[in-house]
Amino acid sequence: MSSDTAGAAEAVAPPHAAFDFDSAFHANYERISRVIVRVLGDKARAEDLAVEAFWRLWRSPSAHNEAHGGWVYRTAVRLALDELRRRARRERYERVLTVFRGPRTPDEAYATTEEQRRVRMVLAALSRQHAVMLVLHSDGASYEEIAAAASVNPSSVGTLLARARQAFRKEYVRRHGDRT
Amino acid sequence: MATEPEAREGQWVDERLRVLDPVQAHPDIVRARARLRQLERGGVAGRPTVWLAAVAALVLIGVVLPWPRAAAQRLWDRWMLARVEIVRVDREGLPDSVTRVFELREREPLQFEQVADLAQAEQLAGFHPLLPAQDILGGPPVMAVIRKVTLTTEPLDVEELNRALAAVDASDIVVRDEWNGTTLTVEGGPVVVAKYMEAGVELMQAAPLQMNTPPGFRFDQFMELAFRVFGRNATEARDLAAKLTANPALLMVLRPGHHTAVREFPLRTGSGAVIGDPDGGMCVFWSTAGRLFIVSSPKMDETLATAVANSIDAYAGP
Repeated sequence: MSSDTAGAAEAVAPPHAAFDFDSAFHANYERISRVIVRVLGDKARAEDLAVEAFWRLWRSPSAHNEAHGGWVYRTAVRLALDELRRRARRERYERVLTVFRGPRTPDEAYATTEEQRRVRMVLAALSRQHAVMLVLHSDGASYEEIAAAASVNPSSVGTLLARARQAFRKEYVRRHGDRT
Repeated sequence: MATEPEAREGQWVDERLRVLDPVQAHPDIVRARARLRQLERGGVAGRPTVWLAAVAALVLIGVVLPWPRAAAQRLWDRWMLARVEIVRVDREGLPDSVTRVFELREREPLQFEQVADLAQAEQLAGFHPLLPAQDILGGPPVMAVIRKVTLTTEPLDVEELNRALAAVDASDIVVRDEWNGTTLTVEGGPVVVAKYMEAGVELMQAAPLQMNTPPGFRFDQFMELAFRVFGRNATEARDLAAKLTANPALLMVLRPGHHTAVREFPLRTGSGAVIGDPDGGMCVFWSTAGRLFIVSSPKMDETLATAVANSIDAYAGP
């Protein structure tokens, strides 16, 4: 098949008939949006990514079950962390020409304090699992929710969280000093 | 049960993470649901913001400088062969009021028009979008067209620039008074965006953009000024600006200590550049006559990136 004929309309799968997507959306959207804001500090972008997370849910019939909340939570945090890493890379690329930076939203411009920037850079540098666990924990997720979202055994959440904290502190101190 | 050191460490980390607690936010759930409904009908989520400015910057020099069309078509050759070594600068500590005059930003939010398929994208864009072979990224992609892109800098502030130059002992550079209040504007479009959701890859392609400056604006002097402001010494800044004038090229400006990998790779019609990151993910960009391509992904490796570029290039003109 030639490459330029590959753009037919995307075959997306609607939700299972028994799955109430609207209810799932309304029950979870605010929380999902909030956890992305936590990671990115950019409300406008967070709303974009929250929509994307729910769109992925809509397109994933296998997630249309009682565990959909954890599924979309995990997807949202991963999307946010991917974006955070992209931003960290972008900062390193330092844009083209004379720092032609990508457009910043007003939220992004105002929301970032120096300490927030440091913490986000550290999160961006951690392994995805460590970052996911720390973000979820700081968002108030229970161990059960963390286990579901991080695809780990609930009984090992405490240990894994301790390792994630250790990794965070090590990376933070390496980059910014102790600052206690 | 956590040991005492673990508990202290946990507390220390939790305190750090607490700075991310969002201020009270009220997401617009109605708007979000409306966007989802659009997507359910077949559309594009999100905004491709990351590399759009790169497209504009690429064309910035090409349009401003008087060069023949043939040279324009070889822009990438020249850039990659001559500039891949990267210009490193130290712009730490520069106030935003200074850096803003060198940055292009959207004048207004990008307006996406979601399209159902390639034919509709072509109809809106006015050119035939090229996509990689289906076995490379899966797909088909979700597509949208941005009909018009307008990016501008903040107005030049002569006093502010003079202060910035003085701060780096560049008082030999005189900022032309007539530049005061000047803004540089780049206009372009349409841009076709194709998102491969499963692969996490975004492809953008655009016709060349155009830059508008006041009559008689000396872009070479502006570039020399920019390099000085961003920390290059007089000789280097003059040399770089002169090279840009004689041999238009795109520059990447990196801060010291950054280890971003930039490599050239061959294409049937020329060559492209792949920008990789040690943490994973990369961006690939190249141009053909009249078309700019940018492929980016947080999880793409170089093999996939070059496969995508080569697949598209195989359908490009000679």
